[in-house]
Amino acid sequence: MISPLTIGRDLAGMAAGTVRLPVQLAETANILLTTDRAVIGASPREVVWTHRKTTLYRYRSQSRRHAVPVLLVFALINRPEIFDLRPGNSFVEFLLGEGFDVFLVDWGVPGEEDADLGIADYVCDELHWAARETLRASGQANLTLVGWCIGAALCAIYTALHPDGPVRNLAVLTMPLDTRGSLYSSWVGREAFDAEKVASGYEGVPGKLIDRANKLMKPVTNYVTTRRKLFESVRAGTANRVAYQAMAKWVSDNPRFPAAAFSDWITWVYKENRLANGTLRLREKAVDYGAIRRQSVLVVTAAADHIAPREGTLPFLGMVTTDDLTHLDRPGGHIGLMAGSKARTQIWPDIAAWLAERSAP
Amino acid sequence: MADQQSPLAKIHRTYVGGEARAASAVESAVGSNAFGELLAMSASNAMALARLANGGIDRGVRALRVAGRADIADLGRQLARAEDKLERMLQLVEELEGRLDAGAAPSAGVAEARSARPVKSAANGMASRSSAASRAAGGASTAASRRRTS
Repeated sequence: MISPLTIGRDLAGMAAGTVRLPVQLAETANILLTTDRAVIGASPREVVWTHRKTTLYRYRSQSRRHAVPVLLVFALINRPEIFDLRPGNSFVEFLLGEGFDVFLVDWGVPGEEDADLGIADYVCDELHWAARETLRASGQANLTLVGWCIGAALCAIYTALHPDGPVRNLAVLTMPLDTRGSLYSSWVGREAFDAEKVASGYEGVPGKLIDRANKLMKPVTNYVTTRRKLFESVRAGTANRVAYQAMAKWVSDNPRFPAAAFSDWITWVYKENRLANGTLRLREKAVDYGAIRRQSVLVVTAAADHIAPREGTLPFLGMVTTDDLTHLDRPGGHIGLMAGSKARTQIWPDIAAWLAERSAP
Repeated sequence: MADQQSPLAKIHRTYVGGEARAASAVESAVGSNAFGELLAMSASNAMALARLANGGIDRGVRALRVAGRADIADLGRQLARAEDKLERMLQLVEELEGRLDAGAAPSAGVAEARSARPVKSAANGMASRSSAASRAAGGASTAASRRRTS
């Protein structure tokens, strides 16, 4: 039974809320409409090397304490600025503060002319050359590879192909490996999905199409709940405009997936599951994760990851033969784990501590 | 907690609950076999249509004696191939330089010429190290000063 007093208070509250509502709606709209003005990837950096669309950056640091340089590698979808999202919430900034020499390989924004770039080109040429230039610029003989999502898979493949190469430490974050039973697999792994034909439409797959597909995995959450929560935070006066806009800007920046790389990735990983069953070959060389025995390996999985579910990454722990293997399993999603507001306290310190122990000259 | 019992709060809770149920229902729908089949066919069809449309537009543009998108992409491909060759050639040169350095210490004149090679500054205006400094830092190849910007 609702008392007249409660109803009266509600009506008074509604009246006050009605006055504030247009302002709150306008503020919410303003946050959504000015997202493109957000500043992301702002840490000072210099270009070390470029080839075609790939650029190797080095971040400036005043206090390098660890000899082994860290090379960050992101996926072929979205941009690597997620490693350096915004001042105060940047993994790059954090690593620099911890005394690491940080490099980042940026795959750039491929055009139609890059349709011929396949996974083999990215691993055997671009990543290989970026690693070489990292060593050259840092003056070191070894490096640490930190890969995220598809970038993690590229790093693992590279390390497996060069088991006696320069990689001393390998950190893979939310890496897709065994795709059986995943939602992606049920979409693109079926016969009706012809990856080559899909990729040939625009000489590559438009980034927006991949973004739509990603959002379609959780449509209500991505298209409704996110905005509803933003509006609620504006109403409550707790909206973090800078954080929301930085993430929204990064999410909406979708470069083209080169045709050959897309076709390779879909066919090898989702249709034939070659990474998991050990049948992948690049340029006539077998990719054998068992060859990863000299390197220290860190595997990070996210419990709520729906893009690269943790169950799909776990087989990697049994495939590598190194004695120095660490697995960090944390709550969070595919991106939120490393770039969310809690990452600075929940995961970055552990990664930095793991790296520090293994980065002596 | 009067606020949590108010009609407005109840409406809000009901909406949030409905949204969560809708999210769950839609997620199981997009995970169904039928949706996967539809998505796969739709993607193939959409891209086939895009290919036809792009080809038609390109032919129209070419009919006007103007370079079409395909022509520009071809030009880009040729540039990319040239850059690939250049990169591999530079690597060979560095390897040869490395071998020369390992075989005999370069004369003062050669060393000076190498360190004086022009160094491109980075896109954001950062200075690059000289080759001599690079060699001193890590004993890397003499071509350590090479910096390329796109």
